[in-house]
Amino acid sequence: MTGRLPLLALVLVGLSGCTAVRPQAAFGDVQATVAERADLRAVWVTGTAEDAAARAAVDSLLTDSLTADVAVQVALLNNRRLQATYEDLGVAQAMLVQAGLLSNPVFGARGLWPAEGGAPDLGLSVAFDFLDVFARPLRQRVARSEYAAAQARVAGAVLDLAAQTRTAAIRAQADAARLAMQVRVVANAEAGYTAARLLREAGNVPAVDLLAEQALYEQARLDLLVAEGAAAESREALIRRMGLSGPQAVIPLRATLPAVPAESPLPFVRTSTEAGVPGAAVDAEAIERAAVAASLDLDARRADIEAAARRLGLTDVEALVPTLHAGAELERTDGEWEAGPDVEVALPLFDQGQARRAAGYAELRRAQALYEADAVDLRSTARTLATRLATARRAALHYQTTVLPLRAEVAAQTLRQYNAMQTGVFGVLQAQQAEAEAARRYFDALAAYWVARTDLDLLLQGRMPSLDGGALARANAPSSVPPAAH
Amino acid sequence: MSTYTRRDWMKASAVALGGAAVGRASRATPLPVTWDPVAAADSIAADSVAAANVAATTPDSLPALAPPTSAPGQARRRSLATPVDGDRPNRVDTPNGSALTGRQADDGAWVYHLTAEEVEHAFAPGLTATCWGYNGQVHGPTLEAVEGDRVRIYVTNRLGVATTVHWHGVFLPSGMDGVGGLSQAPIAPGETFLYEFPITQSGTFMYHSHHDEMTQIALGLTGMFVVHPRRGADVDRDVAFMLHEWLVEPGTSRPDPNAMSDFNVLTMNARAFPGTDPIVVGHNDRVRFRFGNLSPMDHHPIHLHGHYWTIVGTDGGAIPAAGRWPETTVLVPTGSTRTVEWTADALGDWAMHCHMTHHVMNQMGHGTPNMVGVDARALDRSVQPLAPGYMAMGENGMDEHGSHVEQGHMPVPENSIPMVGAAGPFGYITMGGMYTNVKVRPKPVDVTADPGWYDHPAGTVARAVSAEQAARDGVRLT
Repeated sequence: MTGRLPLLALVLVGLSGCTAVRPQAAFGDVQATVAERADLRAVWVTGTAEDAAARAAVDSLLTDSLTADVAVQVALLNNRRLQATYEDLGVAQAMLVQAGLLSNPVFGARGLWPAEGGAPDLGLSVAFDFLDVFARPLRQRVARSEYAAAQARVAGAVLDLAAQTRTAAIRAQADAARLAMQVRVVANAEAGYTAARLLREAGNVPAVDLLAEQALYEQARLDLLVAEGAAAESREALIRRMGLSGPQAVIPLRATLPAVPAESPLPFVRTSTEAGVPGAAVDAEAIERAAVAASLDLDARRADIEAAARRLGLTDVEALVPTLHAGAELERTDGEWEAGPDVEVALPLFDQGQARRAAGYAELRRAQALYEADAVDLRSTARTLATRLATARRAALHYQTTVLPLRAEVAAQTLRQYNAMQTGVFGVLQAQQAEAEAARRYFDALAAYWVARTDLDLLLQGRMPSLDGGALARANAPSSVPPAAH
Repeated sequence: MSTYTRRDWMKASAVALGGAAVGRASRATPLPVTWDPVAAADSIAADSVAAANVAATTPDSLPALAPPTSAPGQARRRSLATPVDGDRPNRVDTPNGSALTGRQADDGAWVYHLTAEEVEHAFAPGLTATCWGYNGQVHGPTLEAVEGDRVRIYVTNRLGVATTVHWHGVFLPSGMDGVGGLSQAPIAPGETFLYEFPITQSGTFMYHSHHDEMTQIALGLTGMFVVHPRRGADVDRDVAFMLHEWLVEPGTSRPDPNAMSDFNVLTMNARAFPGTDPIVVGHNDRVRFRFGNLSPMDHHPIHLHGHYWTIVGTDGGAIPAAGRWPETTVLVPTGSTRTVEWTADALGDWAMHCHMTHHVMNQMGHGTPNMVGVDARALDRSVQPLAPGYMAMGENGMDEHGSHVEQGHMPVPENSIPMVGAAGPFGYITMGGMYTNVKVRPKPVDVTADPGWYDHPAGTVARAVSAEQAARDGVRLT
């Protein structure tokens, strides 16, 4: 039986040597996925020479005035949390390699020394879990499914971060613009206060008029404080996403959001002039279909189902095929070596795998239910975003094409009325104030539009947005009067 | 901007030129002491042909309202004559208005035709509004009749609503008095009514709508009604003025009949200065001014500079000589006429205006803060960055307003005019509204054309003095 040992070793080496740990290759797939879906470039900073290039890219991106696109690119290069997520790929890939490895053979040795002396009774054995050979392809398929799920999740994390950064940039820009407007409002209130002061000094208005103007001015200054706080916070939120700190954190944020394009680049959104208002008609059904087809979340859930099913198949095999340890034994008895095969079989007497099988079924059902739940959420989200985008687009365009020109014309005509001595300096300032207020609301509407666009883009890239952009739109809607308490 | 263009003014001037010729001709013919209407009509007819020829050869490109200059010789002469429609020569000048003298019917009655209709009316250059008037103008033509006439007045209603005409101050049968619902059925749109009555008095009267008065009078349905005595002219110049007030908000183009107290267009013969034509008078002329007031809410104390006048009559008739007294201001109550007579014995350019200071303003807002004494530059510094084009006004009154607007650096709403003024020979005349210039000139003078500004004899114009000059009289200027 001596010649059997090298043969066995050969077989073992052949079975074990098929895979190596190479997570960078997996990242290539992720890069391809995000490039294809979102036209983004992801870089995994792994302590190589390429890292310096990535750092240099971040530095050069930060020199220009910061748009949402630039912020996203910086975040993808620089966000450490995202880099941490990339390591999931390493883990998953390692698990895949692990799944391909056979369990190590067990080498045993024993010696028995007769108490009365004499030659020891020596025994050597090598045994390995024979079933491993059969279960290995199954295990590998499970690991491959898990690996695919991990890849999808990492790609999803990239897309998520990109969208979150874009949203943060939009909010930071909107808040900066609102802050600029509030500065104008304060200047306006200050001019009103100055006018009242000059009138008071000339003896032309009573104290109450001056105090009223002063109160408006002081309130405007308080509002400015709040606006400054909000702008600083949303700016920090952006900086966090971009992973910046130190001198880099002083970002040259561009204060204006781009206007709503007259023609929508999205295939599902068409401009319409329904009821004379320029806006968008959205094909919600088409968006639903596209979102479902693109969904990385659903891909991951599908992989989960497959993994659960395969794990169940493995359980079945393991349960049905009793644990078989096969090996060889070499024994020296009475000075003679004897060799022979050694087999151990666990009798499926108590554990017939029923518990594990039940757990496997439960996992499968859970994976299926989660898939369906995600699908339902996804479709609803698609419809919600379709509506939100249409509304936000219409609102922002309405400001752009109608309300703002109207307010500007009101201010111009008020100045003419002032010139004709039909109204005073306070009338002029009031018109300017209304114009600034309309501009502030326009920035709100614009931010709501771009956040909705970002959310919908993310959805069509295969990721489920958080939908909290709606809070932005709602927070700035004219508040209704609360019902009186009784 | 205004719908009233320069071209419209030119057209108006062309019409006025035609009338000017008639006026000149009629004035050239001394009125007989006893006026025979038929003979007069014949003589006028001949003059009208000549007048038409003059009008045809006169270019219509003459600017109607060229800015006056201080050099009288260079001033473009602008027609001031009253266009007349009728067989008889008119004897009353209605500045910026017209006259209707009647056409004689076969039975001897004098026939007039008034058509009530909507009219685009210019109060002044830059301010036009849709008003209601008679025979295409606001106010209606001055009806001239002679005591003892039988008048037959056709009234056609081309408004969208019913109307009537009341003959204010005229004695007539109750059924001819024109009070809608009381004296007669209202004249429905499209209908023509006939009013016929003998004229048994002379004096200064008026006519106006007496149906939905608040709306119809406020929109302009009024006119003067002058009845000459059978005996001939006893003054050299006889001029009629209808006083009125309106609310035309800047940027709007229709008077608001709901106004109760915030009127912003104050007019003489429906014109606000600088839209009023000057009154030209020969030196030492006996002059009669007839004022009628159909303003919705206000009386007007009309004041003439440099002269005194005697109030000789109301719409109730002549005041006995023993009851007359000299005045420089005559208060013309709403719904009344006042007739004054005076001798133009002082050469020069004399202001005549309502003495209510807000009545010599145009389209002034009534809710603006009091800016007198306010540091305008400090205000400009704080407001201008927010409202480019803003300029503080009123720091020391309103006088700069008109010139700012005129210079174009203060755009005003469409269809609106500066609160005050026009350029005068010595700078800006800081009045508007119920204001006109009375120009007394040496004879012979063409009273139908603007003679330009008065050329003051040397040493007769107020002037700035130096401290030394003042010191000579013991006036110390520190």
